[in-house]
Amino acid sequence: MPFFEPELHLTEEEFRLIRDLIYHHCGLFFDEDSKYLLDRRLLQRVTLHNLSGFREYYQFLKYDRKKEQEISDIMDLLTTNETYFFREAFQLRAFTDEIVPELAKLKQRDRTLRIWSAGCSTGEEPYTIAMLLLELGCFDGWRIDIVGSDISHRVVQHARKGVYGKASFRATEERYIKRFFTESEGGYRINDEVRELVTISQMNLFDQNRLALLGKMDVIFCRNVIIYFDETSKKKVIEAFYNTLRGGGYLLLGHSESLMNITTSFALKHLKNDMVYQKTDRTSGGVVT
Amino acid sequence: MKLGSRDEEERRLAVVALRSHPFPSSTQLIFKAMGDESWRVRKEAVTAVLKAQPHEAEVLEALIGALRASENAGLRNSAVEALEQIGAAAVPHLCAHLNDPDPDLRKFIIDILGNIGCDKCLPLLVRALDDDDMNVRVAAAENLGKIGDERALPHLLTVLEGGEIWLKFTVLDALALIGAPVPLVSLAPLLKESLLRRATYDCLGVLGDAQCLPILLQGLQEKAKNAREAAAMALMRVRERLPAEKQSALVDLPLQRLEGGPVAKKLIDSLHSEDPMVLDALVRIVGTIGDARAALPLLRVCRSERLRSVCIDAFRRVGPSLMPELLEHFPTAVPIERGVTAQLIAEFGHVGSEKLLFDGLLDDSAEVRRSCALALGRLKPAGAVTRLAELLDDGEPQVREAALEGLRGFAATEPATLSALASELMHAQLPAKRRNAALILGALSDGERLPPLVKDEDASVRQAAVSSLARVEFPQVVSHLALALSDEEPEVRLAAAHALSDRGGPDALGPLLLALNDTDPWVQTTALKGLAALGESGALQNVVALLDHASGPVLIAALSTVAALGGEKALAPVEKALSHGDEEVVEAAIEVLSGFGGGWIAAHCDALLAHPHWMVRRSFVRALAMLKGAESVPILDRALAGESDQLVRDEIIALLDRLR
Ligand SMILES: C[S@@+](CC[C@H](N)C(=O)[O-])C[C@H]1O[C@@H](n2cnc3c(N)ncnc32)[C@H](O)[C@@H]1O
Repeated sequence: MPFFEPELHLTEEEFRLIRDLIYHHCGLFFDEDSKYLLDRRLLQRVTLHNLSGFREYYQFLKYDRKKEQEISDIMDLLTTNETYFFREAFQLRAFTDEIVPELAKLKQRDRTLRIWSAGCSTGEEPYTIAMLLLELGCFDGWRIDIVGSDISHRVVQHARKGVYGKASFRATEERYIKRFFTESEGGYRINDEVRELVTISQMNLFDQNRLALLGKMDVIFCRNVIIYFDETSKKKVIEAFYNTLRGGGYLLLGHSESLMNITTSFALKHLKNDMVYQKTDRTSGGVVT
Repeated sequence: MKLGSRDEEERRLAVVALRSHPFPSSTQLIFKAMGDESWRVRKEAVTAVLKAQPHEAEVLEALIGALRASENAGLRNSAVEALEQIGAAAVPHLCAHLNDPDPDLRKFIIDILGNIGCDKCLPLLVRALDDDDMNVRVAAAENLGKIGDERALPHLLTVLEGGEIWLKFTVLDALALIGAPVPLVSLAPLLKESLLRRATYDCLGVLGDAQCLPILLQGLQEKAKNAREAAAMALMRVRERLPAEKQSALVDLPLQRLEGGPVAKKLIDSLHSEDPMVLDALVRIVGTIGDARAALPLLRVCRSERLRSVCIDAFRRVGPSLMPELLEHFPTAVPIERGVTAQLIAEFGHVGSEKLLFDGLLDDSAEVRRSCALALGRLKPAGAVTRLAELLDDGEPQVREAALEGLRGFAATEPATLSALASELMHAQLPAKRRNAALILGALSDGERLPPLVKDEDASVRQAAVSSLARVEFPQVVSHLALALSDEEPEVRLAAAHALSDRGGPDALGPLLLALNDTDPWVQTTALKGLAALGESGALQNVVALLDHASGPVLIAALSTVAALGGEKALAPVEKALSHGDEEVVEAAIEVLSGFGGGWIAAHCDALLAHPHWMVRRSFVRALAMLKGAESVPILDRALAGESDQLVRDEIIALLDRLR
């Protein structure tokens, strides 16, 4: 077992093979500067699987029956899963004060509300949405589906478990903790009332087949996920969102993300609290090519 | 929606709307938008211009005219961006303005030509090296570097003989970018000019050969920090390009002579730099000098993960003389420094530090506990077994693994203690503990107590026990391993296939042949490798039978196994695999065939040079150059002309350099 220094190094060639494979699988693009990062982080995987080197690891990623699992594991090593409850408050206010009332009116007949939190990491985001809806308290007798999905196996398990530590609550008001959590296992467990509204599932945003299972959504939250993608991947994912949204539905991206140069098929709508994207009902438009 | 609106988004949408109008009628408006105060609007306008293809002469001229807009930088930038993206089609128009009386315009045009990277305009850029305006000359030099065409070299070298420092500075950078060798006589005189030293060393680092080493060694004494660091980096870069035997005579020995002196001290003090590239070079140099004064500065550099392994190499070169200072620093060191110190204690076999290592097992930092456990396993002081055994319950997996690794180090010296520990562990409730028992029994080569663990209810225990059996000698080993090949868990079967392959011997043949039919591809692959190592030609027909339905790694391994067992006569299926749809398979076939000479090349050359995957093309040109030598030059030239992938191009250029 090595102390610190790895015996193997990722060659230029192996770097490119592995990088391209990851890119095609899930849209994450690593430039030359990340070679070192991949080298250090993936070496642990090479050793863990008892492989002779990165070339063999590449074959593993390409052929192994557990390759999906492996790629999801390395996602964990290569991206940040940082998230917390009530992140980006002004956007959530736009959601509760403006979007939800509109939807409530619009969907009064069929009484269903379907919301997708794509790239939800450990689940704080979908549970936040659920808590906000419960707080509003005007959906008695409605069917509310909140789907939280992420590519990483580990974070999905965490989200299902629903137990959170201090770091997750940095933006949470005390009353929410009182109302929706119980103390347990050295953390806070989310209550069943909230949990019932939320389904967590493992899903790669680039896996068309799985995405098709979702059905139409009224709102999609995809915050702080596409920052990792290059333009081509962004286009692909945004197109998938477009297809998943009901006409007139909303797409909420993170703070620093925009659809500039990606698509013209969403209209930028200025709400009082935030700017959001709306799928316009017209069928023209589409992803910029 | 109006272009004159005060709202940014409205103006942006207005430009978007303009796209659906015929371009000529909207040109005016789009140009106005190209100078908008908002970059979003400008970007949209540039997109609109680019959409209108092909471009009329008037449009191109108007874009060039916009470069004169000195009062509106936004408009000028939009025009630059649009022209660069239009590319080759704009080149003739751009070139026609290189004699414009406005020097700013000439400079912009040269920058754009450089970014388009069109080699047709090379003569014009060379001419601009003599422009009346200084900024234009500098831009010409810079962009010749960007284009990277070697034909610019003689002209750039002529500039170096002239007088303008600023221009020479840029030329040095350009030469480094072009990357073609430059005669030392052109560069050496520049060092007289203190302002040019840094750039000259950088350039030597890229282009220099053994001849410039004396200059670079001298450069380590430079007073100015940036020049000294540049010389250090250049020295190590040139060293890397030398054959191993010359590295030591021409670089390492002269460096070692600096030990204890003022130059060494200066270099050690430079280890404070922030730049990892500089640090990397300095750490190597300081390590080679071998000066113990470097102990603490090197240890601090170790905090950076990226530089840790070069630092540890440097420590090894300096040797045990640096231990006293490291130990003195230990109580106040950060965890990573304590971990490195523990490792060095073990590497240098430093006696008297055992207590420090034992205390380290209780350290708050997992990294330190891990290092100390590994170090104790190497030094093997009395009493360590019990202490390490306690660490098998540590909360951190990497510490538990290190403890186990450390314990296994005692198999030869304290078998009895270790054996008692194994007995206790093998009856534990927790599977993780029984797994540890299996691994320890493996280290002890205990053929008596391992078999029950091969039958454990937990797969991870069975897997560890099977792996351990590989190293143990007793009569029924092979039959245990063969039985493990029928385990329901693929991991266990894989461990068995590995163990059988590692052991080899005639008994392994039968089970390995059976493993060829496993449902798990990795078990099959391992069995194939084992059979290749066994070399029993009787297995050939079983392997050939596998080729028809195998894919991926199984097919790849099967191809090498066929060649290993059947030799030249059996190569037909390997040659067939050259046209397989999976590039990994094709690459493997190239490698296997290359082991038997170049007879296959002619028939497949064209197809492989045009293969859709860069990796295949790269492997093929390598094989071609290796097998055909100078004969392959014309083919490689042809390949280079048609190759668009940079990595492959670099490879071909390097091969051609070697062959010519
Ligand atoms: C920083 S977290 C964002 C969490 C949450 N949306 C928020 O804003 O707080 C980004 C998540 O995107 C996930 N992700 C990245 N690429 C993905 C892909 N191709 N498919 C699904 N999830 C992906 C990562 O696993 C990670 O958990």
